[in-house]
Amino acid sequence: MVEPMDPFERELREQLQARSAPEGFADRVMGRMSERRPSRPWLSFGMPAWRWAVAAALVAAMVLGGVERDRQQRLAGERAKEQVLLALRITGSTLRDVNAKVKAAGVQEKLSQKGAGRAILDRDE
Amino acid sequence: MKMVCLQVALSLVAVAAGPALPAMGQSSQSPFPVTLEKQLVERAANYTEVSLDRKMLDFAVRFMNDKDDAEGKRIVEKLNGVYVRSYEFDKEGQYTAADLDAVRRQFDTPEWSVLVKTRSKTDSDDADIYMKLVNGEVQGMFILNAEPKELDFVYISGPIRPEDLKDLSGNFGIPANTWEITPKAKEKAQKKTDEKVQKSADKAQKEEQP
Repeated sequence: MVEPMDPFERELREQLQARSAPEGFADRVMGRMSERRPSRPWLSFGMPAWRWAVAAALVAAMVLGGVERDRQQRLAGERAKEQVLLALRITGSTLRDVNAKVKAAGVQEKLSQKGAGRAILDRDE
Repeated sequence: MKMVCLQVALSLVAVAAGPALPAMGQSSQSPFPVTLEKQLVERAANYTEVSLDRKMLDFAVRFMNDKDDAEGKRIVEKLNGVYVRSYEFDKEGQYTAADLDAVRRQFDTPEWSVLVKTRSKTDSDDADIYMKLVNGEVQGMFILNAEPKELDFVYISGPIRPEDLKDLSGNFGIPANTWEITPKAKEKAQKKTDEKVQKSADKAQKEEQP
């Protein structure tokens, strides 16, 4: 003897009953999917475009940084070289002046020995 | 994420551009009295200060590739430092004998010998050349040239041979045969250095004894 179903059970059974999809449902779903799938460029290798952009920016930054470093280094080197040449020039002119004074003092020393002037050379004490 | 990448990129640029340049403003400590230097700079109408330590000289040498630089390069690459101060004044009396003495005192050690010393009555026409001798080898040179309206100090640290200065003759404004340290003068300077070293050793010994 079959027990009578209460209204809830009946409703549950009706809801869980297998139903076939409406006509053309699968085709519509597949059609939508192909519409939404993004077209990946051949270079993507599975990486999003923004990551490629960041990587490119990094490479560009490093290249530019290297170029800038070379430029700065060359400028600093040229400046250092100019400083060396300037130092040598001043050394040269200072030596020339000292030499002139030594020569002049030598002349005066000779004169002083003759009683004609004052000795101003004090060489090696 | 994008911010982090940007920061990384900026850091990479900084790293790529940053190193390998010696700090230009920090090349060395001055061998001359710093206070006096400042005073002279204030009084001078024009001045030139060049301080190049070993690091800067090595750096500069890498860029001295012209044919004309060959002689200077050969000399400079052995040196430990070159320090030049040149002051030009509008009027006379901008420095005193005490100023000059303060500079000379820096080189008043047993290792240094006076090679040339000319004195004027006014103290404004003096010239000195000091030489640092270590085991008979010149390891440094100090040149002082005082004129009524000009004052120059040059300190060259490191092995500089008399021949080097001779080789410079005709270059960098140094006329030929300007300067030559004869073996006799060198011998005399060495003798004086030895005497000075002996004297300071004796003095130290005396001080140690009660």
